[in-house]
Amino acid sequence: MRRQDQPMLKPPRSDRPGEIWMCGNAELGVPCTHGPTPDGRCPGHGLCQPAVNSPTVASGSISAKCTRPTCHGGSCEIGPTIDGGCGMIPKPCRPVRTWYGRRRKARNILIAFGLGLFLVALGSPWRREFLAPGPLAEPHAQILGGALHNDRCAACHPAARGRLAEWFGTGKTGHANVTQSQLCIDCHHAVIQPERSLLSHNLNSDELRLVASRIRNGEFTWRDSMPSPSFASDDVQCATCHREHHGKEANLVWMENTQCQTCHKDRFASFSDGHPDWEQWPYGRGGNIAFNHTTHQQQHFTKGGKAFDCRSCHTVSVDGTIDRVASFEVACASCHNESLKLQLAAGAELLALPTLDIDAIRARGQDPGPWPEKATGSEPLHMSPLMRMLLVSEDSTRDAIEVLSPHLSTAWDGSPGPEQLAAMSTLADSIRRLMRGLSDDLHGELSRRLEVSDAPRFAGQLNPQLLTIAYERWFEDQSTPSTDQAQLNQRIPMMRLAMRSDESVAADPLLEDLLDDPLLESDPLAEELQRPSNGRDKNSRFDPDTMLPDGGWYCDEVRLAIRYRGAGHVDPVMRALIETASSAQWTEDQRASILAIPAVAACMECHPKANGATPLSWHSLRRDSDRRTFTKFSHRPHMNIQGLADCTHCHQVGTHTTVPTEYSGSSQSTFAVAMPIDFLPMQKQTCSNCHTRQAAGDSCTKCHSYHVDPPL
Amino acid sequence: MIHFRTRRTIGLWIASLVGALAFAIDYWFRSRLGNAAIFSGATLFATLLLLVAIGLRKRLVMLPLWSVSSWVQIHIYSGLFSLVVYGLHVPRVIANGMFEGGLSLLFLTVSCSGLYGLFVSRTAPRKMTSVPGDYRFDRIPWHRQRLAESASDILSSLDASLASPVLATYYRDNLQPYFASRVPLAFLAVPNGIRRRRMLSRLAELNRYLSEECRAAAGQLAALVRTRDELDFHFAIQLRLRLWVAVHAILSMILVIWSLLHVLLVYHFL
Repeated sequence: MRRQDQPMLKPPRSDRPGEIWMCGNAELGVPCTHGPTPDGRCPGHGLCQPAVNSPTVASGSISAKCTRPTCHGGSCEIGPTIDGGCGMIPKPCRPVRTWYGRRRKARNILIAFGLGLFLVALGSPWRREFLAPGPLAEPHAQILGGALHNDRCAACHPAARGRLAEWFGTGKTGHANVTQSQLCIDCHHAVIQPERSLLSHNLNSDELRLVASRIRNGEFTWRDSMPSPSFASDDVQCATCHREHHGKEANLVWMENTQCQTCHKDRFASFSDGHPDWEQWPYGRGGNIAFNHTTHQQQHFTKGGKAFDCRSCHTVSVDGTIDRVASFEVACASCHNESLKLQLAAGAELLALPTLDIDAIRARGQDPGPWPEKATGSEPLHMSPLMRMLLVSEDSTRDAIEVLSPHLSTAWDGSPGPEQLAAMSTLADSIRRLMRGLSDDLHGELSRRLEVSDAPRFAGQLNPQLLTIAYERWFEDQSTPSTDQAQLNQRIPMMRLAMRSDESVAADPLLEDLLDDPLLESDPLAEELQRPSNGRDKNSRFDPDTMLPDGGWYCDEVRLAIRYRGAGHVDPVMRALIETASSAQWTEDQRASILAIPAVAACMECHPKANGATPLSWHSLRRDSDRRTFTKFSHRPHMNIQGLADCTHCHQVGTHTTVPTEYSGSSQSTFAVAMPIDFLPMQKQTCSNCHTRQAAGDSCTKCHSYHVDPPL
Repeated sequence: MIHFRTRRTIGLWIASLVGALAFAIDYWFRSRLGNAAIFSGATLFATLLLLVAIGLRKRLVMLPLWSVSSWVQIHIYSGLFSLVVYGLHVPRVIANGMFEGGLSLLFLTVSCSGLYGLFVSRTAPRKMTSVPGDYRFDRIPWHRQRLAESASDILSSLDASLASPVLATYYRDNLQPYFASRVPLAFLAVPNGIRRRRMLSRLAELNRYLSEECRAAAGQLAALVRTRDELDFHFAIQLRLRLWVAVHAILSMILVIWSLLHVLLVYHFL
């Protein structure tokens, strides 16, 4: 028999797929037509109210008819009872859920479960962990690991402070105005200044403008038309770049190259394609020691037959970094020590009595006071820069010096006029008072006259007794000179003049030979100079070259000066003198006069940036690794590559020096002071050969820092 | 009326274009160091609301809101688009964190169920058409009961003097449990004809022991076995469709609720 031939009953049309409940007898094939109530109860619509006819008189029986409606199943087989009631016994079914009803129940249960799970998690003690969008990066995780649950989120998120009910309330907590970035800075204030934390590159607009002016814009490309940043340059929130909750191993400082270029006017494809050339980088970024690589390599070392080896000065330290410069003793002393000692032996004068025409002053009836005969004459005035700086603190003396200034270095053209003689008298008096003040209270007098709080350090080794003795000899012990002595006194100024005309002679050892010359045997001056200096003969000449080989202060009786003889490299007095001269209170002329002293000039030849404000300006130390600049570079990983260990692979000495264009004309550059560049420009290709995306990497952050320290 | 293939092509093109537009906008946000997650998250949440709107459309039949068929098309391609936006919003398979990880798991589950539904809604009708019969899911138990009663009637209608005990025994031991049983889970998972073939082969083996009348009755029982098997097949396929719809809809509702909570949290911490 084929199944098509199998007679099949038609299903009842009482199913309700859209209802929640259906009759429990549906599967038996006898569902009620009314179906269950909406709340799933069987209404029990089985009974009817039979229609009763009039009772038969004869029999007395009641005739009744079933009135069960068709919608309830029609007339039943049992029919009414003999008393006219419904004969059907009600059998309520047990309604069952339809598919829709079961599905709806499952939906409600699962939605309640999902919502309940969220609420339970929210009410649990570990709700912060539940809501956290991901693990913190390792540094933050370590710091916050010991914090309480409730404090962990609130450490960075002001919104997490307060109770859970306050999160979505309208009332604001006491931390309403605290931003997330401020909480970042609360911990990172040691490396980022709070007031600069939201500035682009932590630089203000003027500093940014200065940096931008040093960047050469390249060709215009379509990348330059890419969107501008979504924030103002003075409102860069920390989370703009540093996205947390990306896992323990996440790199918080990682940035895409396109993101780095968002704010930049000139954008390019990659390091090898479009990145500006180095131009002068890494040269011309400062450095305190003037050293000409070109002349040393091509002249001095060649003549000396020495190999110009970079590593002899720039040694590699144990940690792989390269010293910026070697010490003087290691790198320079072998060639420059003797000549430097010779230059510094000339020293500097604290005081030197100028030659004044005292006789002419007295002839005019004025009393200039005691003044040594040796310093009397009509020769050109000479005044040491230091003494002049000390004297100008008095107004009257300043005026007198102004009057005499045309004759400080040139001879008198004729006799001094009344005004000049009066000025000389004033000057003589001022010098005496200066010497008296210095001999009485050296440091106090210097501080007062130089208008500084502390005594200048250059006088630290100066013995005040020396000044006292000098004062007594020059101004108080004025015995009447003998005829010979008078003649000698007439010649000494000539000798002093000759010696002053050539500063190098003063400390020249050959001067001894000159004084030993037989031709000078009959010269009283020679006898005066050759007299042994035993400390008792006040006219004997103190020989600093033999008596002060390691430098020191002394009294020069020939020049009537308090002088200092330099010892050599790292001479403390010369250093202090230069630092004092760099003080901002001095005029350019005064500073120039100090720096013009030959011994000082010898120092400044190699230390052009030395000053008192920055003690480290004497040294060319390794660049401060803690100080963050826009560009960072480490030699260490490069030294492991064969070929790069040779310094000249990247750094080639040029044939001439150039002044960095960026810094020319700006001695007060914000970032660095110009130093001549004596290297050939580095080629970008030298780096880009290896620094590609596939090889050594070409991300911006590999060589550049976003957070930079403000300019000094 | 638009041809099915044309409609699919148009839908794919529109979804691709909107996806590319979302990708471009997201890239634009990222390029200017903006908060691209806000854009992708808002787009994803709006897409989720659009996806669940098909359920409302089915209930609001009185409103002129296009046909359900059009809404199904919108639902399908919006679902594909939401996968693209999810990729932008959560640049990894499963997001970090317990809550957001659960949310992304929920999204992926709903998405997978949607893709499965796309497959099953295209293949199930063809399968059911290939098998005779037209049964409504809610009436299948009734049909199953009727088949069992028919088998019992066939046995009871046999003349007791001519009936073979072999057929009665076979009915009692095999056919009656078969007609009375519910559909096995293995059959629901993978509908197959193993049980039917086993029953029919055994019935065929009984033929040599049966009289002519009993052989006719055995033929009727075999027809009932085939009908029952077809009924089970329809039940299995329809149950599959209905289960998919139920799981997809319920998880979608939970997904929307969790997404709303996620939006509130993000808004609070933004």
